[in-house]
Parts: sequence; C-alpha cells; structure tokens
Amino acid sequence: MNLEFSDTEKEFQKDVQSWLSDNVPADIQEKTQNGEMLDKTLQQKWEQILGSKGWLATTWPKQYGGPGWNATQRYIFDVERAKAGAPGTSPFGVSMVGPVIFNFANQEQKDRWLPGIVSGDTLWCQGYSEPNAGSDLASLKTSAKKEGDEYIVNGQKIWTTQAHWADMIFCLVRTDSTVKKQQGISFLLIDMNTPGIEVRAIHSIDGHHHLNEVYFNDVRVPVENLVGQEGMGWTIAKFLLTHERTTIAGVADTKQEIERLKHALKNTRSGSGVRWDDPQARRRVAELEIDLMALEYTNFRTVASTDNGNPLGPESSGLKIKGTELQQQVSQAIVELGGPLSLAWDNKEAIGNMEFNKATRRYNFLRACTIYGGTNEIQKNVIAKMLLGL
Amino acid sequence: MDFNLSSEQKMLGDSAKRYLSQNYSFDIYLDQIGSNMQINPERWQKMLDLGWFGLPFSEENGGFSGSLFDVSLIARALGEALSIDPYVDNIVLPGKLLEFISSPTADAWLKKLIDGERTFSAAIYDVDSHYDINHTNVILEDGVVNGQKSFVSNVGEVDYLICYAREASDEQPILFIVAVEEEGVEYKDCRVLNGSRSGVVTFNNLELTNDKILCVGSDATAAAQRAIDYVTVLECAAMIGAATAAYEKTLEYAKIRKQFGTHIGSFQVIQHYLVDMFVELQQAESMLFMATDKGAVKDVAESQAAISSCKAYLCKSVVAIAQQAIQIHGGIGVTEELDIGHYFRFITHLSLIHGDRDFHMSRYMKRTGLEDKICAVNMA
Repeated sequence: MNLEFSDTEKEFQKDVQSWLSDNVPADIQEKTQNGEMLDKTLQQKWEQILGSKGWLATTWPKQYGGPGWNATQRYIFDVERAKAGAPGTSPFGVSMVGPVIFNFANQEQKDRWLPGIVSGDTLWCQGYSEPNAGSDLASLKTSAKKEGDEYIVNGQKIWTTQAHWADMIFCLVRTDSTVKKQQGISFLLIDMNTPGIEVRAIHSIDGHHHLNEVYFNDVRVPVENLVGQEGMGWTIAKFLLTHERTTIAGVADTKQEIERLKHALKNTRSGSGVRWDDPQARRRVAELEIDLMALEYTNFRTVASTDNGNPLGPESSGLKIKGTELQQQVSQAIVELGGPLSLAWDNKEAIGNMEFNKATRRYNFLRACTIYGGTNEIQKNVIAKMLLGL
Repeated sequence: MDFNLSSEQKMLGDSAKRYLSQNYSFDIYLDQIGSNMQINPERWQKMLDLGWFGLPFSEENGGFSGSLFDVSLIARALGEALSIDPYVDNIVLPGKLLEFISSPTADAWLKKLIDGERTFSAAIYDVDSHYDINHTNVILEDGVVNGQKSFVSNVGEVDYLICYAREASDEQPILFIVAVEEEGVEYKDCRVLNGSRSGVVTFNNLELTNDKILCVGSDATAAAQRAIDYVTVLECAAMIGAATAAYEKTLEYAKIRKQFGTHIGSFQVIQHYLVDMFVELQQAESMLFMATDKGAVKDVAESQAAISSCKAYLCKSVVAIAQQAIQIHGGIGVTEELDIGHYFRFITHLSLIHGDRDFHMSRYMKRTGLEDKICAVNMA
C-alpha cells in the first residue's frame, strides 16, 4: 500500500499547474468559476488550446495524438484543470467516438477523423436515444438501408446534446430488423451538414439550450462511414460503457464545487456576520467533504489498478452512481445554503453573492446527471446482473 | 499509488481468516455472549502463538512493528467472523497506552502484555463525560484515589487496569496502573450491546504508590488520545469485516429465499438494495484504506481528521448496510437464532464506542478549519 503520489507524479503536477496558470483565458475562467455554461465559441476555443498543446485527448495513446498519460496523470490533470477554473471538455469526440474509431475503425477512417478530434476542430454529438428507446436502448428504430454505396437513414434521435454545435454525429442505427434486436444495430458516422437532417432545440429546466431532437429524412450516408461491420453497433456501445472509468466519478469538479461553496459562505453577509457563522452550514460542508473523500479514494483505487495493469475491481462499478449522486447533493447544498439568494435567475449584477445566484441553474442542470449515460437504475441493473449474479 | 497488499500482508490476512474459521463459529459466539467469560484461555493462547499480541508494537518493546494496516487485517477478520474475543479492547488498547507513555516502567508492563503474562484493561471514560477523555472525576489526592470509571472492557477477567485520572492539587492528568484485586478497587459489570462485558470501576480510598503512576501531564492525555485514535481505526476495520459478512450472507439469502414462486433476488427492488449495499461497502472500504494510511502520520491534526472522517463515514454507511441486511432477510433477520441480527448489534456497538458519528464529525470539523471563525470579510 502506498497512497502518495510519486516524485515524478508530483513533478508532473507542477508542470500541469504552471501550464494552466499561463493558458486558461480569463473570460473562460471567469464563467467557469461562476458555474456558468460556455457558449460554443468559448468551449471550442478552450478545447483547441488544449488540442494545440496535445492535452485534449488525454486518454488516447501517443500514436493517435494523445499525450500517452497513464490514469494517475489523467487524474492529476483533471484535478488541476478544475482547480485552475478551466472547464471540462465535451466527451463526444475525445471520450466516445475517438476510442471507438481507434479500436474498431479501419486505417482510412482513423486518418480521416482522428486528427479533427485531437485538435478540437471537429465537434461531435451522440445519436443514441430515441423517443421510444431511452433506457431500453436496443429498441431503437432509426433505420439505415443500404442502396449501392450509400445508407439511406430515416428516423429520429433525441436528447442529443450539442447537436446544434456539432459537425458530426455518431449514431446507432438499425441495419437489420429481421434478427434479434441487439444484433441488427450498426455504428454510423454522419456529417451534420448532410441534406435531410433537421435539428430542433429542446430547452431544459436550467434555462439553457443543450439538448436537441435530430430528424433524419432520407439522409444519404456513404458506406465508408460505417465503423466495423454491420451488426456490430451494440458491441461498440457496450465497449464504450466500460472504457475509461477513472474520471467518470467527477471527483475533480465536485471538489471544486465544495471549495466554491465554502468561499461563498465566507463571503456572503448575513446579519452582523457571514453565512459561514451558521454551524449547520459548516456541518453540511463537512458531510459533503467526507462523502467526497470516500468517492475520491474509491477513484484512486480504480486509477491505481488501471496503472498497475490489473483488471478493474468491483470498486469501480459504483463510481458513476456515487459520483452523480454526490454532484447533485453538493449542488443542492449550495442552493439550499444560499437560501433566497439562490432564487436569482438572470441577474447581471450580484444579488448578495453571484456564486449563490448562479448555483440554481447548475442545480437544475444536474438533475440530468443521474439520467444521462445510462440512468442510475440501469447502472444498478447491470451491477446486479454482472457482479452480484442476480 | 498502490492499493495492493504485500505478500506478507496477504499471508497475515489469510492466516487470520484460517485461524478464525477453525477456531471460531456462530455457536461459539452464542456461548460466549451467554457467559461471563470473554477471554477464552485456549484461543487467547492461540492468538499469542500467532504473534497477534506483538504485532502492533515496536521491536524495541518486543513486538513485531506491524503497521496500522497490518493490525487492521486482524481486526477485520475478527469482525467478519463476528468474533468478540477482546483482542482490540484488552490487547491493543492497553498495550498502545503503555507504548505511547514510553517510559521504562510502562515498557516493562508492555512486555508482560506482549508475552501474555498479564492481562489489562483501559479505564479511560467517565460516565458523565460522553466521549471527552479530558474530563474525569477520578481524583488523586495525597496518594489516595477516589472516583469512578465506566466502560471498562471485561474488567472481571483482567489483572490490571490502566486508568486516566487527575491530581487534585493542580488538575494535572495522570495515567496510573492498578491491580483489579487491590484493596480500594471495586467493580460491577454488565453485558453490553455486542455481547461482551463492560464494567463500572469504583476507586474507594485506593492507596497509590508513586511507582504506579505511569505518566503525568499533557503526555498522559496525548498517550490516551493516540491509543484511542489507533483503536478507532481498528474498530472501523472490524465494522468493514462485519459488514462484508452481513452483505455476503444477505446476497446468498436473496438467491435462495423464495416468495411468489421465485427467489427474492429476482425482484428489482431487492437487486437495487443489494447493489446499494455493495457499492457502499466499496466506498467504506476505501475510507478504511485511507485511515490506515493517513491515520498513522505524525501530524496530529491530519491523522485525527483522517480517522474521524473514516469513523463518521462508516457510522452512517456501514450501519445502513447492517440495517438493510435485516430488512432483506425479513422476519428471520430480527431473531436471535440467525447471525444477521447479531452482526447488526456488533456493528452498532462499534459505531458507538470511542466516538459516534456526531463526535467524529465535530472533531473532523475542528481539525480541518471548518470551525474557524471568519474575521475579516472581503466584500466587493
């Protein structure tokens, strides 16, 4: 047992800190530290800055343009990134379709799509869910019929985050409706500028536009955009669920949220003192800090076993569940401890404290985190079946 | 970082489990809680032979210099086996007290403990001081001790008590040692929640010679606090061990218990309860690993913050696992005849000794700056 970072890792940590302190643009930092969402321009600007440093696709091996970091380095980077007030990166390119492409695609496809992801120039979105295929994803109906050297795609995707920003969408489509439902699914890459694609906005309860419906009406997609073989879509989707779990718990950002809460309590006037004077508020902070510690050390175990080349232990399976629950709890605590200050919605100037004012939108946004990426109930079904043998 | 056990640690953990599977059982446990005898001579000798008595103590004192993590493997195995053999209460706690006092006299007593020549118990708490050891009404005045200590483990079966008291003249804390048989020492004992026995010891004009005073002043308080901190980690390990067993037994039960024509583990609500227990157990275990490591650092604020955060977390999560184990068992879970209810009591007991959740939450807050007052507010 050794629960310390090595000297080399501490050295790496310093390098990351110093690069971040020079390279996070002030406008991006300010918005992130206020808990605000970035628009497309700022989000992409940050991703391109990381891309030019070679630090965007942190999980990728060197041969595809990743930094070749191990899990500990990725974890350290993530913590320092959050500490520096820099936003997380959009997962669809670097964490999802990228690993699918370098694991399942042919050389031509790798050459064509990987560089745009590594540089942050191409923005991707994920076409999985459909109106009648949410948790029951394998029931999806969007069809792709082969005609010559093209697929003709028809159907509808929903809950498509950043579809209105994206250049490309990776889709699960049905290429065969005569076989068992999981076996008829294929993985298709589609250019969002193709005629027949229509994106309609869905406004979520945080008052922002992240989500969309995407309609496909006789959309012609070249067959060379199929990843792997026809019918491999479900295998690829399952691969993504097990790929890279070392940052899935969101430890770095949750840690930062708790720091933000402490800062807000200390800097918000209340009566003759500050909100920090309230012992119940501080007790609540303590509880969140300790819950975070349990998550953090569970995450360390996953990071360490990844780096030691061990198969992931059972401890990693609950990371998404506990991580998202904690994100919601921290966010709820900020809103509740802000009290009336958390009612502010679109003020430009602080009412009492901007950190509390902005917290409510994030609280609303984070109701989604126990739903997206497979609801926590689906996660539990999977653990019950795979690990508990039920 | 590396969370792997060394080969020695694996052997230690395996041998503890093997010893317990061969020498302990639920039936032995039931006999034990029904009797007045907690220190079973045969098993006591075997634990001595296994080297457990020396493991927590330094080689200079005749021990084996095991790490806190090493010793936690034993506590964990004991918890998993539902063993109430008082290894932690009557070996580690008094032994650590003696070791932390660190004087030739204390070292000589410690040697007798490690060799199994004499048995000891720690008398640290007063009934009216909650978990605060600093407060005591056991007073030494003109060479005579009067007052009362409570929660003294298995007092009726040990040779000596190591007692935390204070001097009348200047309020200085002291630690002294006294034979239970000594005139002026009286005790009553009763069964407590985990089935072991705990005593109330009354000192009635006990004459104390100077050679029995082991330590005076802030050193006495520090020794007592460090010893309690040390065993608090071991209690956490025992809680994890017990919760692991309770969880595994419950999972097995869900696979065989049939209702509505099928095993109850096929119901989604039961599956999700079991997943919650499983996930929570992993988190709690991570906290234990953290506390066995950070709990042993020199910086007192850091080690106490680590230990208190672990105990506070486990008092919530492991207790919830034990409660859920009963719920999933249904009626049979609340009976004396099944071990599940006993695991629940065992875990609850541990959650209440040497600081409960509230105590450790408060201490965590004190050690991490969450109790600091904010003087200057920088308002924009």
